Amino acid sequence: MLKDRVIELFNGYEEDVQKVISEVLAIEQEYISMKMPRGVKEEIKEAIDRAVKK
Amino acid sequence: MKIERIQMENFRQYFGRQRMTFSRDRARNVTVIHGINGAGKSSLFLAINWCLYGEVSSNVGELISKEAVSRASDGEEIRASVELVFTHNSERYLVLRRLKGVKQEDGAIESGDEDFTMMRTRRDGQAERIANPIGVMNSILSSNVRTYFLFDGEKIDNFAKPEASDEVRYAIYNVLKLEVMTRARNHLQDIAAEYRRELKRVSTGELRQFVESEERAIAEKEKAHTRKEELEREIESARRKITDIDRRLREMPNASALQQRRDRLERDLEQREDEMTALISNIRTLATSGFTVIAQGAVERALAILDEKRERGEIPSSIRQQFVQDLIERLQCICGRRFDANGAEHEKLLALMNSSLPGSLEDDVMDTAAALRPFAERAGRLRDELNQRMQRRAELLDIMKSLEEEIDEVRDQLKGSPQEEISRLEEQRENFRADIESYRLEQGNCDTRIDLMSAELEELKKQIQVAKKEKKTERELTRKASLAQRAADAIGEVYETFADDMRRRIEAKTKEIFKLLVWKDSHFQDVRLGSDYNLEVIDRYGLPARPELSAGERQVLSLSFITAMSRVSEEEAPLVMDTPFGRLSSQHRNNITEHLPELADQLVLFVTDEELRDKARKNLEPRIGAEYRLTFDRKTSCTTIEEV
Amino acid sequence: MPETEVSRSDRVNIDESVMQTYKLLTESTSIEESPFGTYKDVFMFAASMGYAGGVRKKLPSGKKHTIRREVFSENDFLVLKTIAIAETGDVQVLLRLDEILTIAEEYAHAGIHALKARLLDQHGRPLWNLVEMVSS
Repeated sequence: MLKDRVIELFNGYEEDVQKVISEVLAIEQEYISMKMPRGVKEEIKEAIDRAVKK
Repeated sequence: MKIERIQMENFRQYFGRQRMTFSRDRARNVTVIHGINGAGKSSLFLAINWCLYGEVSSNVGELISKEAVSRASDGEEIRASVELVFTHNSERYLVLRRLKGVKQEDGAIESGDEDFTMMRTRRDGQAERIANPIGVMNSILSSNVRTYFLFDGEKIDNFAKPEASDEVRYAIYNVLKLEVMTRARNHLQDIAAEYRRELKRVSTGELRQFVESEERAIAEKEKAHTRKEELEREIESARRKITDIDRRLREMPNASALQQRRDRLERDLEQREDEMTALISNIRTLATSGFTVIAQGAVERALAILDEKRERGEIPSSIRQQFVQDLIERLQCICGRRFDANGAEHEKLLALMNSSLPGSLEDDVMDTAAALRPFAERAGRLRDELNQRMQRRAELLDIMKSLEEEIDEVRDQLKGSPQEEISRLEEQRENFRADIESYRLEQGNCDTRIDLMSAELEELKKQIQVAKKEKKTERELTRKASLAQRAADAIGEVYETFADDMRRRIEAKTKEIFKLLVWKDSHFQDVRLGSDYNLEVIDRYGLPARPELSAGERQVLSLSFITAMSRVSEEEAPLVMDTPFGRLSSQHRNNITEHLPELADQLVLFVTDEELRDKARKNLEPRIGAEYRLTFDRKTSCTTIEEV
Repeated sequence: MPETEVSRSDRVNIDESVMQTYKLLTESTSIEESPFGTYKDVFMFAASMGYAGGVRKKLPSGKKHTIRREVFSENDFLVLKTIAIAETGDVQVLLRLDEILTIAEEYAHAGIHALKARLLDQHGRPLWNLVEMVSS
């Protein structure tokens, strides 16, 4: 799947970066139909929060 | 995504409830829907779009079946709905979109709310409602890429027009996750900047300042302590020197008597001072217990209340409840006289029992009253004692004053002594005494400084705690900002390579498909998708051939691009095409019908009879898994679906 | 019946806003400057003066300093009970510890200002002002 191929692109990066990117891409995909997605940044921040706290 | 079935109810010309099942068979993956122009192909195509995405172009008119409206009475509610069942990544979904309308008196429909439900069916057949249907729909087949999968044949040559590079880029952007990556990168960058701004706001460097102040305060406190101890040693040494001088004076014949007198006086003064200290402490103890004097008003009032109760017999004075009860039990008075169980004495005692207060309160009242009674007297005694002590204090002060005067006299005599050594010693002694006094004063200053620093330290400790908490937020923000920025950078770094890679893949796939679909492939050498996203066909001379492409060839190029994209996207997606072959030559049709079924996971074709006949029909035949005909009834203006 | 709080701890509350006076009257190393040994001693005076002055003031909500019930001696408590009886006119109040403490706190909250005026805001050292107040 293309989605997995995209994730693989980041294999060389630090683990926390990989994790955040894969979560953020999933979030963006969910909001992709909206021109000005509201709430997307909050969700991304939560993902970053989780990654940092771990 | 593979569509399993559709069910429409009162949707445009589909009156009542109508259903269609699509073929999902691997070998027979084609579903063909026949219908002449106006039979309802476009409405069915619209039904799929509307159900999944809700948006319809403005010129389609009412969605609710006119037949249903005409049959309804005024004010009646009519519902139009489309339900789709599809599978995606081995999950099964049910999507239902419903529109309600109310028929008005003039026959028009006032449309009401639209609702959208998405369910996921589990293996055991139970369905669970999806809370975030739009998000889930976007991750299955998002609305911004739907036109490449749910394909309107009329727009087929859009991608191959000379001015179409924007459309091509847009398509690649959306279908191939480039848009997702761009947005992710931008959002991460924004967020990293936000974190940095917040960080600037939070990190005021206060903690360091506070810690520095704390260090300074500790050092100053320490300094004051050291100085105080130093002064204590100085005082000690001055005292020793005074003792020394006193000893020498005692040994000198002309000073001896005076010095001995001074010794006595000073001992006496010291004793008086001790007495004074004890007296003050005593006075203090008496004075601080003096609140009972202040409370005397309350005591009097409380006693009056207690006495009143007792006079009314509510509190039997000195006669305890237990005592009365004993009398009743024994049926005998304290004087020894017996009384009857129902006699007047018995009655009286019982009444006394009942009118008195509950046991514990009665005790409390009795104890309180008893304890309060001596208060007035005690207050008087306290005042007397205080007055006595104060008088003694006055006496002591007088005594001490005269002792000091006598000591001064001795000092003056010694200082005025004709014997130089005596007067010099006395002068030195005087100086040491003055030193001690100024040392004491400085010690007092030290104490003040120590107190001040202690208070400041306590305050600083609190501030440091707050600042430390902020520091923690600061560290966290720094980490978050860094992570967001690194993630944004990482996306930026791989983006170009990935985009190029995708463009090349599409280029290769489009070329492959185009060659497959175009009959005179020998004429064209190559298909190129440049970094400017121009889709070009290169002829055998190595030149762009697009201007010379026939309308049909342009459509095939478009179709190739679309199909290539769905292949490269690696999404399991249907290709639903509304009248795709109408404008193609029969030669192209034959080629396409031969190859298209292999190029899609599921193919749904809406066709007119003219589009699909002879060889084209024959090519498709072995791949057809389901086939329907739409029939439009002019009398009812309704379409019915029949399986062929 | 006077209003009582339904449930309260048996600790005695002093509002933070008047703690400065409590501190001044107890904390200095000189007995003449700070005649009182404990906050409790100050409280007993404040409560008595509050009653004598006839001003009772509800404690505001907010931060409180508390004194444990055990710190009060039998005699201290006797005076607090007395104030409660005098205030309510009802001996039954002896059964209601809650009310006794609340009355004391509210009188002390008013009385502390009077005490400050008499001891700290006068010419002369606080101990001698106190003696003057008690023996006159």
